[in-house]
Amino acid sequence: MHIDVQHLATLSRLSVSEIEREKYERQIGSILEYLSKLGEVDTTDVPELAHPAVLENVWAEDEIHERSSEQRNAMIEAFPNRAGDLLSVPAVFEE
Amino acid sequence: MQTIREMRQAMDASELSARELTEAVLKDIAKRDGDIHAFLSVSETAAAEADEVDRRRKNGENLPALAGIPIAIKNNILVQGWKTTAGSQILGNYVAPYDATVIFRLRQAGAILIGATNLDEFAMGSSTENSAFGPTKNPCDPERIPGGSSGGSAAAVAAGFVPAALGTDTGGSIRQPAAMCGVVGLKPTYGRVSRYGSIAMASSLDQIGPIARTVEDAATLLLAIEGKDPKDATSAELPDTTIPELLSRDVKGLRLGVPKEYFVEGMDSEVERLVREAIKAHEAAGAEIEEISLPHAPHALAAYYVVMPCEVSSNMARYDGMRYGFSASGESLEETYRLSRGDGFGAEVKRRIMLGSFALSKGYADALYKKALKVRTLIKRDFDEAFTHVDAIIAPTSPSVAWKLGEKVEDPLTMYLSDIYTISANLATIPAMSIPCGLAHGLPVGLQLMAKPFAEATLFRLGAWFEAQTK
Repeated sequence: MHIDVQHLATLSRLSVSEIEREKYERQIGSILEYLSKLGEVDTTDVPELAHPAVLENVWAEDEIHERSSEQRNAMIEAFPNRAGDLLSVPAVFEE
Repeated sequence: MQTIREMRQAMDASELSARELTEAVLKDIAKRDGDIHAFLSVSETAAAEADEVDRRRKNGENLPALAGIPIAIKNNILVQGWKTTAGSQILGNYVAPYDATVIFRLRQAGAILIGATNLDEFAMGSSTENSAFGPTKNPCDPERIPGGSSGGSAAAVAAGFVPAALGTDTGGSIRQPAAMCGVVGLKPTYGRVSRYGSIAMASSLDQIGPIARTVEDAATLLLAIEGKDPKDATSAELPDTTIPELLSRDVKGLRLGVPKEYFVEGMDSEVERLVREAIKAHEAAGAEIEEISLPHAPHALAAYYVVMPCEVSSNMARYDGMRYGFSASGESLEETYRLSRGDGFGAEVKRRIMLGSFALSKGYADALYKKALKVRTLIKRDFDEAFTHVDAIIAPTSPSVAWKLGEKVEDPLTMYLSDIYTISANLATIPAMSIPCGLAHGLPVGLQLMAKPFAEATLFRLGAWFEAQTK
């Protein structure tokens, strides 16, 4: 099965080197070949098990919960780039 | 002194203070863990926490179940103030800003959180060799893997550093390392234990669970962490349970199913012999043994290795170099994403993300992702059907004993095949336990017990009985 690793890497927002590309092509190809055996199973009229939880519509109360300043500061400390207490990110839209 | 029960008794009898116990544990880790590498870090506040327990005991306070007991935590569970790396460079310096619910509950129970244990990166692996910080060695044989992905936690317990640890299990990552290292490991029913604060791998499969030296200690740890959590919408309301009723140790009349599809070619004959002997022992004690069929078992691994990577590809999207974690600047936003993730993630993580992207992409989503979800329904139905006429299913945990470090790293598929007996319980959301059942080629073998959703009591009952036979 031919795998376009570059395409998959783009979809996944990952960079892969040339050496990695060859290795993944081989490995992912062989894994996908194994996975194709799913085609052997007759799933006519079988619903998808979309989610295992037994519960439905679990609601949270519409309440404000203050986060402690300790937690807030810890999160701000973790920002890779910041301007004061604000998270700094590259612009989404380019000219 | 190796168990929670023994430690608790010693402290209650004032033979040992919590401080002395914690210091002894930390000293032991400093002395012996260099060769094993179960731990990625140890707590700097453990001694102070132990002092607090001693102070409360001196005050005559009624102490909670785990007061003063040292517990190790797999490093994909958030502990406020600890580097919570998930075994990855992309979170190599990430300090958790809050406690996971299970951590909050352990603290309420008085536990001393000793340190963070090693794991396969983002819990993806079966040998702990995918950790960005080096592998963990199996305490039973340092040239062998401890299993994975909770290899550090299993090794920490097996090596006697701590009596119990938390792990996570998405496709066997508690049970398989427990089997490889000769300790007890339980994957609870999906929804039994809150996932709030555990780093998500596959959200419909993940569960946090206990690894311990005895079934009783696994139960003690589970009781401390389980239960409905408003912060985890998938967590369930549970009935009150106590330890004595869990460990009634009587198997007479229990109906045990032996799945014929689990005894296949390629299984180590010594492993098979030990598991069959264990089954005979149950029969001799009055359990009814019945051969059952789980007809979709041969397709379970394929279903798992579609569903899981799809969910992984979604859960890993948050690691984008923007708000936390490793960040590598590129010339454009997209390049920043690619470089941060490309350099931050290891090979197995990248493989699974790409597999998931493929299985969800146009032209393939029907044949792979949706197909796998239908097969998942069929697998769940197989178990539902089986549990209408058996109380538990008894099977091997792993087709082999621990293999040598480096032996399976080149071929991911070979590694995946080692999960063949464990993944079904995650797909079907049922609870499953691995308990030691002897040595094959000098290495531990695990017996796996599975029960219907929320029937952990049956597993503890069976496990405690079997454990007593093998003492």
